[in-house]
Amino acid sequence: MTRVRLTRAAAGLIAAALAALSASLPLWSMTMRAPQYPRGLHLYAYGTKLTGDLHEINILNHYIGMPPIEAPALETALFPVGMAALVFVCLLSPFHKWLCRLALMATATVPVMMLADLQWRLYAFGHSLDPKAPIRLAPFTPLVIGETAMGNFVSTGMISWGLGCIIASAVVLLMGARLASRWAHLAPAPVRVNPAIAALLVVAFAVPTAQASDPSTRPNDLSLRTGVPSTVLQSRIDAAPRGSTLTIPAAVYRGPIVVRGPLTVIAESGATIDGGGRGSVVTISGAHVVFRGFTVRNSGRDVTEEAAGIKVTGHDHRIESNEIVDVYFGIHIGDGARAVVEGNRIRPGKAYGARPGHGINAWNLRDTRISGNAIADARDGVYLSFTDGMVVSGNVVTDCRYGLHSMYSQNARFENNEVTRNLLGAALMMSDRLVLKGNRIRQHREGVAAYGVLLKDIGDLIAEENEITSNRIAIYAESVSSKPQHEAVFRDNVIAGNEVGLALQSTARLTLTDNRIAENLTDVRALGRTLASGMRWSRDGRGNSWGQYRGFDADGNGVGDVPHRVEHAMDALIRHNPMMQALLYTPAHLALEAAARMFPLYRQPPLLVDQQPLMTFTLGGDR
Amino acid sequence: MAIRIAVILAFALLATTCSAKASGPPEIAVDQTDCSHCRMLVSELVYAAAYQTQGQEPRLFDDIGCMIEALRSEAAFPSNVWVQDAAGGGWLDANAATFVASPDIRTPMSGGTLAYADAATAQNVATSRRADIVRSFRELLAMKGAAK
Repeated sequence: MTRVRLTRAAAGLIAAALAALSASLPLWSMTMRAPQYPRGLHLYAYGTKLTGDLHEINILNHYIGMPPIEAPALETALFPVGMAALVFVCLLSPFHKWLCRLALMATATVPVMMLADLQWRLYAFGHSLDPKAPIRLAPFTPLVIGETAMGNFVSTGMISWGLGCIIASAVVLLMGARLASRWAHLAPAPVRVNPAIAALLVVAFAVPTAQASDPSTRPNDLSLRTGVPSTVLQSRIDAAPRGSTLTIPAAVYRGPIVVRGPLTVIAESGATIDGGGRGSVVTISGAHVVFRGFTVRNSGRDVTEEAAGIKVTGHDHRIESNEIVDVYFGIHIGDGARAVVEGNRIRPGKAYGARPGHGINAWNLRDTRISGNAIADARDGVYLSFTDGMVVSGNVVTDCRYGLHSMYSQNARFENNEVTRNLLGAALMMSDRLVLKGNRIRQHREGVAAYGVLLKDIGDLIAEENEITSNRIAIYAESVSSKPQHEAVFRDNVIAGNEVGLALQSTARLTLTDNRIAENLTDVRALGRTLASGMRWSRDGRGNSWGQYRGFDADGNGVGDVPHRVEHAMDALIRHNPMMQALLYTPAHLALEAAARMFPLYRQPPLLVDQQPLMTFTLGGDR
Repeated sequence: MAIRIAVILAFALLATTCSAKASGPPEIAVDQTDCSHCRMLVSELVYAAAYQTQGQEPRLFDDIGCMIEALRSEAAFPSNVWVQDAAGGGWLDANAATFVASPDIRTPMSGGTLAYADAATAQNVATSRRADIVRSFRELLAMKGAAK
């Protein structure tokens, strides 16, 4: 009989102790793992509080727009009352069969209710994401028990010791009841309260609850680690195997991002990287990186910092189809070779006072192709410095300072670019072995250096099949070719509709053949006293097609029978008296030009003579 | 009479301000003025430099390197040499500046030289960019082989 009573009492006591103990232990825990957190981030849910890496988790959650996780007020208020009731019921369980059943039911139900409540809370967190968050994820439900993938995190929910204790107390009660009923069946007797047992129960109840209310928490060394939000994308990139392909879903990611090759990183439409206004947004290094389809924005803007939307070093990279806005440099690529920069749309923007940096800034680079990019609102659209073997083709450059700009570079080919409405179209300076072919360079009319093409200190140059139209000065040349063994050749170009076709310093030594030079207010202007003796206006029996030519072709060989003389009486007068410039393009100027043509009396020595002027011109050459 | 005097004084004042202006460093209209050596537009203030020889208009450069190149062809050392503070402080006398020089500092004409009004700032930049610190303009000229 005593054995039955003792068994019930012991079961009740142990169950109550376990229930009370559970109040001081974590009930549930969650571990979040990601490549940048190899040890995982841990969250422990106690009845009245949350501990662990709550701070980091909340910072990360902020980026996906999840409200900060905190211990819910209702549950934390109910928990002490509920647990006290549970312990009390357990203590009462030995006194009556129904009390024992109630205790058993309560200890069995409480864990289920707690898990259900937690699951509901987790659902609520995963479904109240702020749509304006930097990273947009579809709503999700982290599982209370088991693994859930969220972005590049995997969360694992698990029952912890506290809940285990409550379940154990239910098991103890069940076992106690079974044993007691078996023995009672042999000798049933009424249950009496044993004062000593009751006293023990009270002590057992009091100690764990006092422990539970102790504010000291588990030491939390993990919270010392700093959570860097940019690692959300960075960790995926870092974790990708070498040479693999990553597809990045549409979201706004915080930069800076570093990509080291070999790796292919492809954005789904709408994937944006925001640099937060500091440094370069994306930095690419190593070799064989493909970086495609991103919107890259908001780099640092300090002039000497040289921040870029995409900063590239190394070789064999492909930077394709990105949209780069609101940056200092668009793409800064250097110290490497054999890259392709293609199909990007670059608009550094003027929003921050002075002009930003270059659209594409190539520095110390070899054998790289820059093609099919659209660049606007930059300092220079494409800027080459200390490069060799570059191909710049099919780009559209508007509203920049210089459209194309070559400095200290050699073997550069500028082909089929559309260069419009910049302060200056193409500035080719201090460079050698250049090809300028098939470009359309138009509408450079604003500012003090409104030139279609500026040539200065150039070695070998072949300029062919370009249309250089509607500029203030189509071609300005100084110190070209810089050395006697070099040659700068213009052939098959259209130089038309400009205020001045060619403005030449006395150091400009060009060869012009098969060009159409027409409809300019002034075809050729000497900026020094005369043109250089090395200027050649024809080659191999072919001069140029002049809109002003008044000769004839009796023998029908396509070459005029009388030379074309460019006289510009007005220019000669200006050279003698700069004040005459005030009369340019006035009726007086036109009258003077007409008089000089009609009455050789007024004739000045010609500025130039084209001995073989062409009667016709076909764009692309007719030879 | 008073009005006449006032007008004369006003003109005199205007004349003095104009002449005073002419003796100082040139104003830079960004993207509207070209470098008097390389002909590139001056687009970034912090790299710019200027000098003035006796009785001449000041010459403006987009890069300290351009100014040093231009100085080589001057018969006499200019009476005034100015550089822009790379920290954004505007014009300063080149003789009061501290310079930071490195081929890796990308200036418009690759002169690779920045000028700072504050020596400590210059030292910090030199350290962070692994560049040479040059304590005076004379020293800079000597380094570039342009000392007279």
